[in-house]
Amino acid sequence: VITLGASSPLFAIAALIDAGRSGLVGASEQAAFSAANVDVAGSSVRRRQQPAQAPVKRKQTPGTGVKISLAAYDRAFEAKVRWQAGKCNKCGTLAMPPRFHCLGCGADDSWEYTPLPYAGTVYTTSTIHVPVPSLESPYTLAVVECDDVDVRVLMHVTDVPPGSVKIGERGKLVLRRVAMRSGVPDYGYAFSPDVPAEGKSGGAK
Amino acid sequence: MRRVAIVGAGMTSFGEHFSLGIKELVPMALSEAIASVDKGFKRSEIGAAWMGEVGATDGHAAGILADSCGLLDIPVTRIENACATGQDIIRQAIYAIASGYVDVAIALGADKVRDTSSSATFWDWMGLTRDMAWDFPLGLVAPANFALHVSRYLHEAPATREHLAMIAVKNHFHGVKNPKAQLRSEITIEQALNAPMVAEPFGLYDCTPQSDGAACVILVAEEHVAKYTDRPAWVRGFGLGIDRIMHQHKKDMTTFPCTVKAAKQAYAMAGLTPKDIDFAEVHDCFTGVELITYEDLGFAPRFEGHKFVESRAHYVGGSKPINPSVEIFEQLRGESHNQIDNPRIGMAHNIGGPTAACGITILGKERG
Repeated sequence: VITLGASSPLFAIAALIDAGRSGLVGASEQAAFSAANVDVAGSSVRRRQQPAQAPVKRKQTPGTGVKISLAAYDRAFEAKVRWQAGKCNKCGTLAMPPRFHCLGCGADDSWEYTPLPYAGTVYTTSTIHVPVPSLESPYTLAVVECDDVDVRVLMHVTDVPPGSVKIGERGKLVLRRVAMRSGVPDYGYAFSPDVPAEGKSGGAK
Repeated sequence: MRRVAIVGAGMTSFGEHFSLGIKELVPMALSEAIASVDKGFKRSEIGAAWMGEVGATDGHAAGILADSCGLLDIPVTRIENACATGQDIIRQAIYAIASGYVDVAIALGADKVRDTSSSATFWDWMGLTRDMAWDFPLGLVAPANFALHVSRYLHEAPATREHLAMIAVKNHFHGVKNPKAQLRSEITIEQALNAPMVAEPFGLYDCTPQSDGAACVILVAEEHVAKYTDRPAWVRGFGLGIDRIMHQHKKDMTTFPCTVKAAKQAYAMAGLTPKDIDFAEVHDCFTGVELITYEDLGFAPRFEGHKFVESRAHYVGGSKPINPSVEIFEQLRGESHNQIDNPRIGMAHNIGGPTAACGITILGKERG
């Protein structure tokens, strides 16, 4: 069985345990290949995942997509994908994304990464219906206030149909693939609203 | 500082000028501006020129102005400051004249938005004004950029989507009489409310069309004004305000701090207050932007912009016409197709980029 994506080894191992089958799991990424012999005896799977949902009808604009700056992507990677802000070494002010000149005290180039909370509240939102290259429309953007820290972040809303989130709603911040650009997956944190499972579209598995 | 006045102004019509390139639109705007100077004007009298262009069409912008207009022996500089670009070139020309560097300057703005396909145009432009790792990839297109503000505004203020529609109806109504307007048809509130959604809360009629066009003003130093006209538009005040460039760093999204800052500068320089402004051309890329701007400019109290809309004060004939849809220069000279009754003070306002740049110019019939 072949699965794709960064999380696929986990799904492969879970599938082996579900099937009660020990065996070899291999994972490849570009020129690297790793393999593990998995013994499932005595193991069980506890899932924390959203119930499956009915697909939302969305359209992707045909064409060449948008240009991407790999250098800009790389500079943003640690903060964006590890979900870490820059914390000023002088005054402790958090900045997302991290920045050379501190938002609080103005100190230059003196900060370190610090983890951000994984929950927050929608400050404002808009759902975009017009076609946008490399993205599937409609999609929902939100400026989310992270819990307990003075940090807001612009992100996509995920796990619910576009347009269903409201200002003031709470939710979790979850890693998602936002888009594919020039064949490169673009990962980032997205807002997953806290709504009862039955409130989300589609049936539970 | 020497005082400065506008003695001539010209603009092309706005629309999809597929048959006109920037090398046609630019000299057309200048020629019309020259023709509007009452006592005559020779282009050899221009001491310096500023060219405003947000995008880049057919190459080097400063060179295009100099070459296409036959102005090869003066300094020409291209300025880009998002949608405040046109305001900023006027500001640069005023600085040059006020400082004594030149006596006569032109500020000419032009853009060819429709030289790329409509689906790509504003997306291409986003790359000029958004963070390439944090904003651009998420699809923070121009309507979304402003919609995030207006969503929050509608959440906190009593205004509704109906008030946005009322602004679209008013601006279409004013545009009908303007021979240079791109859209010259009236719409109803129902049409605006029922139009296809672009970026919530903006429907189609809440959004600007994509336009090609060019406009030019001729500015001269105080002691030379009488040589050109007895009916100048005096520069009374101007300002340029800047804000944080990422939405997540804007503390209160129900207001545009760049507008508040630019207005403060312009009012202080002019020695005027919001009450003194007889009419204004307010940036109306999206209806909700115009609504918030009423408050940022001091025309309506905070969160009471909807009452200003309901009063219809913003129509031609009202107490504070907003976007009568022809140049302020023509209004002050009594030559407008949508003429306001004897206006003395007019204001022009633009906001753009990631809601981070605002330019304001206040013009007066009297020197002040």
